[in-house]
Amino acid sequence: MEQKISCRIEENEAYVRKRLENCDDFIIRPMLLGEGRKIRCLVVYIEVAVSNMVLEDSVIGKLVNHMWEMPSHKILEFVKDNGMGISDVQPLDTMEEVFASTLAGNAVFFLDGYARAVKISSKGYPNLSVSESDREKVLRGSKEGFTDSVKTNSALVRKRIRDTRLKVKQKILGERSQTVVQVLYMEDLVRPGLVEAIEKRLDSFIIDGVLDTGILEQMTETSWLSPFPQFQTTERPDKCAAEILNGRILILTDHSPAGLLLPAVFNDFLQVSEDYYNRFAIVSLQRILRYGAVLMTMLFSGAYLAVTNFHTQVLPTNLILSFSEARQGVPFPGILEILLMELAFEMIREAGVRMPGPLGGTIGIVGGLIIGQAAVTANLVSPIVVVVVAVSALSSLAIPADEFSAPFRLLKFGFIMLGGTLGVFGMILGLYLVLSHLAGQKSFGIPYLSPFAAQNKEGYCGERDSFIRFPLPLLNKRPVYARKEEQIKIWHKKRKKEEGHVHR
Amino acid sequence: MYTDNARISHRQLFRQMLTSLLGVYFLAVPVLPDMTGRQGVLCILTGAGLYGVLGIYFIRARNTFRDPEGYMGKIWGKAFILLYTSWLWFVGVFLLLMTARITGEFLIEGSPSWIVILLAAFAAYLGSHQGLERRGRMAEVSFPVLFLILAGMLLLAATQVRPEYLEETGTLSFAGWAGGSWQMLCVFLPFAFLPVALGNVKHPAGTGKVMWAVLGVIAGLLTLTLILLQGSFGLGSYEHEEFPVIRLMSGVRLPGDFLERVDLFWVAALVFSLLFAIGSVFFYSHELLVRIHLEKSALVAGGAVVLGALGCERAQIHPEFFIRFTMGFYGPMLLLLLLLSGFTGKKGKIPRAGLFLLTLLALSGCGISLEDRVFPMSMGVDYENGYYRLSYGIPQLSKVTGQDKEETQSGEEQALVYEGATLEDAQERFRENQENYLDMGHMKAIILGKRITENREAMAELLGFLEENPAVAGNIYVFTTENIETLMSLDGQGVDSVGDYLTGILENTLDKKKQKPVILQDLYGAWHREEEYPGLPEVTIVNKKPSIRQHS
Repeated sequence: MEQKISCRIEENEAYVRKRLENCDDFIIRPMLLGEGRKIRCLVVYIEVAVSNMVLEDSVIGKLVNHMWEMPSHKILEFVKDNGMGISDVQPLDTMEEVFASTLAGNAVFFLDGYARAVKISSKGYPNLSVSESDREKVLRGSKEGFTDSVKTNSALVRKRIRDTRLKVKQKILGERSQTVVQVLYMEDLVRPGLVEAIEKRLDSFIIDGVLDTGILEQMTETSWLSPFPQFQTTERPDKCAAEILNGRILILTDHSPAGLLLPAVFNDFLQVSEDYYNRFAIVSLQRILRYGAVLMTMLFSGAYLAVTNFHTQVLPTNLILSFSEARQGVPFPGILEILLMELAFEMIREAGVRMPGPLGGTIGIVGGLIIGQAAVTANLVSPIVVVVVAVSALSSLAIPADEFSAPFRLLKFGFIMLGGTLGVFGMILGLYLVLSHLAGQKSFGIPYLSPFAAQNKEGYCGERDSFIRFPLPLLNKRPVYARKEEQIKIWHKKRKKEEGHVHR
Repeated sequence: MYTDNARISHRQLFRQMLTSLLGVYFLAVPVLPDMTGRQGVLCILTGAGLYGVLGIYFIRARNTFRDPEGYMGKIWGKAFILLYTSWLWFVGVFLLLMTARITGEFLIEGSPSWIVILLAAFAAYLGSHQGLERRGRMAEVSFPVLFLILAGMLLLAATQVRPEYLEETGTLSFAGWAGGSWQMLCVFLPFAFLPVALGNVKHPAGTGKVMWAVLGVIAGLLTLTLILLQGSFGLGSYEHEEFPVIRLMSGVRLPGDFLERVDLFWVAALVFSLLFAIGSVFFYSHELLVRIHLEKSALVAGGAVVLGALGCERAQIHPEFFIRFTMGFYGPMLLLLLLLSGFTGKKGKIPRAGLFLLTLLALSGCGISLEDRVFPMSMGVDYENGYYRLSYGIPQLSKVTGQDKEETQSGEEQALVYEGATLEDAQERFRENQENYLDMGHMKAIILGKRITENREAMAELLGFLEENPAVAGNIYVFTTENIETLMSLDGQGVDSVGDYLTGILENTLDKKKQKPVILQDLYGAWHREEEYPGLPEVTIVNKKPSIRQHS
């Protein structure tokens, strides 16, 4: 049962002090107000979350200053009449609301003889300010990235879609963390039932703490054994805004700069926001390169083993002789050689990611050049294997989303085993299995391989934004996950006939 | 939930049918007994046309497959479906065997067939019960690549065609035409899977057009294959082979020659198609068993298919047996049943993954590492006093590649000569005296001694020996010489091997010379057709350098 706020401030103070026992980060400050200091009041807040400036600048702060000299009998009346209904203060009826507000980073004000408390809004906990996302840098386009604060993040999206049809539904998840989660979508563009489906999934579990969107992602996806992501993550508000306008849903979580976009299919992970800001020809080339990078990441090392161990006749003679000569004197079999180098690369990558900026680059150089060169000189590996692993590594870095490159890096090891032990037959087996898995995969009902494997619905033209990005005026339809009645996104107005060329 | 893919589209159906059928058709049809020359083309067109007409009827009879017990009664419904499913299992055994044989012959030389069968069945079985839409999406994505490889390389193979071979028309008789058309009709019977699938296809009544389109594409490609086989090898020189169409691809060269051999991609595409077809067998088998409430036995049935394939492989049953049995039993029986059906009126994932890894480990070691191979660039063969003499021209790696690795002993010998009563014996001597595996995939030239060219019997044995080795491409140049041993021990031009050097001279002077170079394929053709062997360019030694008499 919820604890009501008492009229007697002593009772309220005792209760608050009991609940906050050994919580030294909380400030419980009793005060005496009014002429002769007869009226008792109490302010409760977290020390770092609420600065004194905020308290003084808030309406209630100004009231407190005003009440300092006010006759005691008028104070209660004054608070009841003037203190409520102002934008940055809110009355609270129960102690649960009081603690929820305080823990959210606000201050709460109690007054003797008044059976309610007053929440004084604050900016809350310390946060990073809006800055450029390190994960998704672009040459062209907005430099703003999401921060750790969910409200700042949704405001960044709202800034780009100034339309009341953009809805923001808020939830509190995590029994102990009480994390704010927001679901953003365009009311008229999202598929019917999709918002309800994600809300149902969010409500389908009880968890201690939601500390990042990654936890929500893993708790709500259906195929949790699959290595392929079913949500797309992004730290860019402009990308989120563009995708919301395509009929997708964005989930934001407090304390996480990454938003989750859903549904998410294979094709989405190979697109970046910049693709729509640049001209179509160069973007199309980049898209083809990214698709190529996916295949190279997964297959290149395995294919090298298959060709050198089983099907030497494929490569030109001089090349195969060159490979053969390079392998002379290397003590390990080809498969072990590749595995060692691939694992070494993964280690370098892991070390580089965790290192501070300048050191990360150094690790890359040390790992890539010195270790590679030293390994070749010491005859631990052949030079061609260094080239193969480098190409495979470079390809994995060319995949724009890290969460999407990860499954292919993982599968690469499977293909190394298959190519090294079964040659091209093994590679075909592996491809068959991967394709079969991807064909069975869905993200919120949308086939993962769409638009390549979507229905050839009448008028559907999702392929125009896949390998090749068609010119923007031709991309006038939303992707398959938008509401059917709202497929058209670009309407061309009839232009007046332009003036003909003036001949002099 | 929100998807439009609850039923597959006609495009997905079209691609799915082609993906599963192309591979097996390319392998099975060209070796059918009556399928040669103009008669073969006529049979393909007649069989496709007949099936096109029957197809309309099968589409109309689809409801029988959706509820066989409701339409035929419990016992007859079950019997009908079980017979139909038994044919699927039979096809499954055939497909698994084909996969194992192709893999063993062209992909992993000498691999144990039972492991290939197990792996192929494992891959194809996974997810085979998860709905037609999944298979539809898979085919929709993979078909364009598959078609590009299969059809694209067929077109490239057209460069090998010799107009004089195409002038031969072959025999044409009524009995041959009727027999061949029946064979084609039976071959097209896998289309009879169609009614089973129609419950999950959008507008099932309109799938006739899809089926005709598939028939058209397949008939067109098969006709093209027959023409190319005849045009490349000539009538009578490829029919005896198990997989002539793969040999056809061994001579294909890509524009720009940036890869030495590309037939591997074609074989890989075929294997993918076969895997998809095996998946179809498991899928349709499961679907049919569901209709008679025996879905729990689908796994057992799958196991039986694998066991059947393993047994047939052990008993060395030829694939022809399956084709004959289909023509003689399943073809007529199923056709009859399908016609009658129109008048009836009314998990363990971890152990499986473990098994997969174990079989992989069992197969590891089949591959041979690069440093453990020797690559002869030329091969000399002569025959004297009942003995064959094989000389392998092996280049010095460090010289050819320009790499100078220390402490390597590779390639110190130039010409290795071995003798034997048969060619296999001579090769065995080579194996006994070499630590490395003999990789003939990069051979550039075969040089025959005068004595072997004059002995037709010895030549036939040599050609048979080479033909059996799939690594030896059909487009290798063949020469003759009087002094084979001296020639084989010569350097080409300092860094080139003799094989490279001779090929270079020949290709440089092709346009200017009247006499055409002879490739191995020409000799195969003359041997099978029992014609005179073409005259071979003669290699002589001038200033310690090889020289082609007619070209240098």
